[in-house]
Amino acid sequence: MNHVKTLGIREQAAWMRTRHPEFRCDIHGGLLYCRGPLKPGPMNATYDVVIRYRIGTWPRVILPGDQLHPLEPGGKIPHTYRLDEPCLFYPSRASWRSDMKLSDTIIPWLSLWLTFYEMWRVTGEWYGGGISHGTVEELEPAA
Amino acid sequence: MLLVEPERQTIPSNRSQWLDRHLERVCIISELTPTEFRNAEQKYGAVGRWLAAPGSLLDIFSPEIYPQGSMLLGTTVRPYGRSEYDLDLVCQLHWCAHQPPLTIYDWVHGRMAANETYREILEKLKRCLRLNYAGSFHLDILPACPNGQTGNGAIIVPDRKLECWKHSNPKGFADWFFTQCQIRDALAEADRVIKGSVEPLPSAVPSEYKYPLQRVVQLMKRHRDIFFHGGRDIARSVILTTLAGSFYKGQRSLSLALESVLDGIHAAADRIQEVPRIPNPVHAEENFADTWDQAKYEEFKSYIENFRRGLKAAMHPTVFAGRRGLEKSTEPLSELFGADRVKEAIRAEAAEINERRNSGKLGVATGGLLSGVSKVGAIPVPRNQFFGR
Repeated sequence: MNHVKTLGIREQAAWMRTRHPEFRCDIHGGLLYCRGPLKPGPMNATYDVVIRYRIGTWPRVILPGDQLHPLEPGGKIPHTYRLDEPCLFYPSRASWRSDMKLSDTIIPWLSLWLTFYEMWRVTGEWYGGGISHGTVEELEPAA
Repeated sequence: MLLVEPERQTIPSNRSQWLDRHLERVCIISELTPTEFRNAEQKYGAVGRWLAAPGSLLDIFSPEIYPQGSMLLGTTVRPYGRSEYDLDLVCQLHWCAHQPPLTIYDWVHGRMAANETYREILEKLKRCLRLNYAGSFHLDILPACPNGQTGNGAIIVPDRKLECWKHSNPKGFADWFFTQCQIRDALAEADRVIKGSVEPLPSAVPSEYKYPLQRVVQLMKRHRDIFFHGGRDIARSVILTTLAGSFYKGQRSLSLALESVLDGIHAAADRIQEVPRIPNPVHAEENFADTWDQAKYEEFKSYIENFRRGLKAAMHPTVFAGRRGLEKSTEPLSELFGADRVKEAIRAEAAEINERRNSGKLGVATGGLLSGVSKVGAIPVPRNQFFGR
């Protein structure tokens, strides 16, 4: 079932530049590396965001340095892989496919995630919904 | 009728819009819901019919019941640490001004106590009768007679010790308040030409249609309850309503309206060292601040100063270093209105975002700014499920 028209790495970079000109994107040996500022709303902080993507893998989003904080030292942040890496989508082909633009999926989802993250910081409640790690039997490879 | 346009259609794109919406949500959480309001109306309507029933002792005085205070003005706020609202009603009799207040009070009490349902929840207070509807509200019924000399809604009510009559005019005060509620900006000017004059709003209108001044009063009452831990005698609601109405300059933005009211009171209090009078705007001889002494006046001033400082910290959060993003503003807001109310308001904001998200009406504009989908350059946020613990 290969009806997915995978976007080339240069196409992805071009869409990023069009939609989010404040991001800097470079390609090194097939790896797309984009870095730029993101501010989801007027009340929110501006985050320094890194997106890494190679065709055939799931795109990764990292907020480098000490930008995200658990509620207490040593605590966890909902829907993250690590303290600096939010989980923006359920890693299955139903959620994200290589014919999707990073600029129109990853960035909007990250804005949404950061909005809920900052609300969680205030109230201790996660309003963004989602799926827990524990419920997944096995992960699909990226498409 | 000129209504405040509910801005339900946009996602805030600047701080002031966000703050306006957040403050509005704090008010909505704090006030009577339309259902509770209608329930209270039904209850007091029934009281009115009972008092006026043919053959009752009061029948000949044509008793008439109507709300006064926050229920009439649309400025109710759930009291601090309790779930019951205080709702004030006037039980106006006619042709009774020559009777001693105590007699009138006893007659109304007697008629109320003759009803089994009311007898069980009836309580005698200093100058009014209270019906306790546990868990929702109590209705404080103040017996009154018309003030024949003045007219225009003027009434006389028993003083605190039931020894003599005092002047009052809740309907006149409401007329004054709703005149002050007018929005005075270029848009309102245009509206007025098209739609005619401003009319007072019934208080049970959907709450997003309330005037900014009504919201300002609610927020002042809420911070008063927080600041004085439920104590209400220094910053009485009628004082707050009068001052807010006097210093409001017709702003459409709730946060700017509140800021200008607090700035106005602050500047006036700075000039006036001695305990001032706060005259009733529709009955200048009455001083709403007649219980103030120097100490109470100073406490009132520190309440205003604290409010003003907190609001400015939320509006211009650079003052609040050490925190990032939303927290910088919600921290001072929690201090002003209570962490529980702010939390509920954030929960409501999240629900609104999710509603848009689920109906495909959430977009992202340049810089990652969440917006509506109609914003120029915005792309819709596709569906997703956050993953992970």
